[in-house]
Amino acid sequence: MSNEIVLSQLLQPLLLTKIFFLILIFAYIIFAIVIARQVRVMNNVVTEKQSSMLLSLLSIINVIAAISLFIVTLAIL
Amino acid sequence: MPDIFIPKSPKTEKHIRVPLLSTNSKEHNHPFASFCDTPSNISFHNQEPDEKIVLLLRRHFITNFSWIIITVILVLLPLLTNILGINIQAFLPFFPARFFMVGLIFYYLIIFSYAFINFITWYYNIFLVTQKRIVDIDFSDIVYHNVAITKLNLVEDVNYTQVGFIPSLFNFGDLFVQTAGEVKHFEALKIPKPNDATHIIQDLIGGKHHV
Repeated sequence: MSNEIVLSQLLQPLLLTKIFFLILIFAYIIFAIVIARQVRVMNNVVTEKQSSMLLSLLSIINVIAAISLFIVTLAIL
Repeated sequence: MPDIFIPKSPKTEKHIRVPLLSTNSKEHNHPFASFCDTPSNISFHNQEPDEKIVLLLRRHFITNFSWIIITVILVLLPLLTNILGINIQAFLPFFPARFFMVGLIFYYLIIFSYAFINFITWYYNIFLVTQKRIVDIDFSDIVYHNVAITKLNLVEDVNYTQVGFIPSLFNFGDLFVQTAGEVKHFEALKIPKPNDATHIIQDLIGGKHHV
């Protein structure tokens, strides 16, 4: 009986949508981490002090924003 | 007895002749320039201590126009739907407003990534010329980068092409450097002032050019 209740709860559209969002945002976090890493690699290849720092900062902000969105989605949806 | 031959002194042989340029280097010497002679504050991996960058080339900034326009349209799209009175929530009434809020934030994150990736693809695709070497850095598809380096004394030929109305209007074209090294061709595509770039490299190698 309890398994049926859990299954029926899982199949609710809102819960499914929430899981879908979480999967998407998690994939985006991985993508953002890859971008941040590539920016770091390319800054080692060619370095210009101000712009390298700015691009690194933007890539890190992207990762932080993605993680924050994941946490917010987990909490409020 | 008149002197028939006077050998050059070692000091004058080591003197590096930096080519004269018609462009004002101060105007173009900023981090996001597409054409920069003797850029300051920039260095590359494996750059030698006495090696100075004579020329920095990137694609002309106008080539970024397409993705900039797309980004602006995508950014303004939710606002336009609001202005036009199109209510997306009305199409999906069973979803609470918080779903749309999260969706909107995620949408803007995607747009930011799109713009950022396009920008860094433009920014990290660099063609550098030093007084000793030519360095071609290719960066594409986020995870691919290629660095090709050749010595100036291996450069055999330098030429450029400028085809079309837009390239002629904005003065950008493709530069091709033929070398005797393992990498036969170095390309700098859609660079500004290809004529000036060609002359700079020719001055450095002291060779003929083809147009």
